[in-house]
Amino acid sequence: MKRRLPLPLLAAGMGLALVLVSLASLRTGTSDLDGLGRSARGVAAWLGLASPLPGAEQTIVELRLFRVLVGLGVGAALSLSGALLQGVFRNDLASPSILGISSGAALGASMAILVLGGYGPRVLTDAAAAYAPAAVSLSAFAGATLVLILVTLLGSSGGRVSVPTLLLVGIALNAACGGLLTAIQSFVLEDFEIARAMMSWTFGTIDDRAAWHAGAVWAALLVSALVIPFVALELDLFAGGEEDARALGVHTQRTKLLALGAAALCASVAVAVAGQIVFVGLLVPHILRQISGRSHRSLLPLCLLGGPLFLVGTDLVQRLAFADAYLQPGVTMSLVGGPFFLYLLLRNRAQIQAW
Amino acid sequence: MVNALEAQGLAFAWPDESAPEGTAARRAVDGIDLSLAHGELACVIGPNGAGKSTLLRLLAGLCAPDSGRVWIEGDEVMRLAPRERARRVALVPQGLETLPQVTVETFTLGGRYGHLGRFGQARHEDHAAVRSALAEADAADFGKRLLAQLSGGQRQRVLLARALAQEARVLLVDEPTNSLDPEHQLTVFDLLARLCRESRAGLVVTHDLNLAAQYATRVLLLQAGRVVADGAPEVVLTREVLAPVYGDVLAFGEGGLGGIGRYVLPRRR
Repeated sequence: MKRRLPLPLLAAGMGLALVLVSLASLRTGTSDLDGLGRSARGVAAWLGLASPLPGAEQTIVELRLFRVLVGLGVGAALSLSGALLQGVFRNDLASPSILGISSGAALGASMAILVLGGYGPRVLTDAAAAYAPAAVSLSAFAGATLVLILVTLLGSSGGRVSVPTLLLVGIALNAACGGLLTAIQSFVLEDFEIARAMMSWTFGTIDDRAAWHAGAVWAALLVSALVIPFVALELDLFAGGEEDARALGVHTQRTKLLALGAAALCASVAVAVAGQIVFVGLLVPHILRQISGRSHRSLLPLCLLGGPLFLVGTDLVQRLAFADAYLQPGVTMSLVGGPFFLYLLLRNRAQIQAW
Repeated sequence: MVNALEAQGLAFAWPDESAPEGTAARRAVDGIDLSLAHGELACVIGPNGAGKSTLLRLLAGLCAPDSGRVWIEGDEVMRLAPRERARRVALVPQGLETLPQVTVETFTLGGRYGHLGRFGQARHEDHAAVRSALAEADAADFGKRLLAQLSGGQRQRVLLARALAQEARVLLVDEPTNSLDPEHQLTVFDLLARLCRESRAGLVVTHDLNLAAQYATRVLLLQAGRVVADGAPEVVLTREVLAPVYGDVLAFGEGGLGGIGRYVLPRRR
């Protein structure tokens, strides 16, 4: 057995790193507002504890603050969601994006953008315009939820979820959503503004977020994290199969419901708030399992630290290293995540063939 | 004194999509009544597909019967809270759907789930129960190894150890000696016999008629989802009872175990 770091030490180290990364991220940006002191004063002002910074500086600090807050929340939500799904499906390759949550959200978001852009019936465009900033996110949330429900329904029979079927159904629905998405995009290709908005949404971004974005994702995260104590030990016992867990005294139906519900909630809100940021939910739990072992009692809480650290950290590194060529975090994740996913597949080839 | 295990009119059919419209699928378990007292070690025998494993699942409360009811120590099994059920009845399956990537000790600790508090950290007594269970199943030597690193027979003993760690008074065991060497076959049955003498109740599915003859206090013969014979080994394990069910493949040796015959498979001509 590999020697592992004691859990409290690991958690403390990750917590410290998280604070440092967040602070560094708070003072890094395209505008030349530097100095932690000024950023701190801006944050204090936003909280109503100090007078605002002069001119645009206050706005810049607030934008950076929400950027960091959304980044942290989204990173944690996606990782937690991935870890929960992997536990329920007893498969390290399950993730929110494979289950179609992201493509469903993309479809929902594109439809909202389409309607906001003046396409579709008048009633709808008026309604959307009234809730303009939230319309895209709400529609993305609805799309994610719908596709997830569809995947779960089609991928299970008689109340039992079959892993291979579920993954295949997920792939098929991903493709179907992708097809619809392309159709919508090609339909509005001439309309430069709308096509651009759709495209940039699929990149996944934490720029230009408002307080409510951060609030939504943190609220969803909080609710989802509350299930951890009720499912962690139980998911460990799922490892030998659902019926085996039931024989040991696990309330399997409740465990599945709580874990799937929490996973769906935090992933769909995260995607609704920040667009498609893929692979976080796959990568972070996998890395954490290597460090701290397979037990969900350490894995799930650590995801709340590791996810944000990974997302905000990679984003920070990317911005510091290539200041002139800024990539949205969704793009960075795809660049890192694709090859890593391939590596995972190859490493687990035997396990996959055993399905 | 209330019976350890009681079943009345148990029936269960697997959903069968190949069955023609309107016809009922053949029942895996078709009207079984059963009662088992503490102190009994009953062996369940019968041909493949007779419903032995399905019977165990029903008795363990893992699936609801189509009709009939099961009581564990006086309470209906489907109404027990899952943890309470796990404290009363332990099932040793033939194998697992997937192999958990954990050490033998961690895996065996899973048997303590019913005893842990709501957010329970394993306490001293849980670890003690795991240690003694592993020792009893002769699995203590590989406690630190991963399940995947064990042989089939070692894994089977670990499954038994986990059930022992549950400290349930009703033990349901599905073919525990399948991949065991002769010595461990005896070890496992010695252990089961001792546990049952010390006030537990055991129901063990096996294809090994010799072990059943040697250890069982009672033998149940299943055929097509029904109990066709139920009684002492020397009553059930006879040519007259077995031949109609198994056909003429069994050869009965003479002498052997306390007057009961030995059963061997003859060479097919």
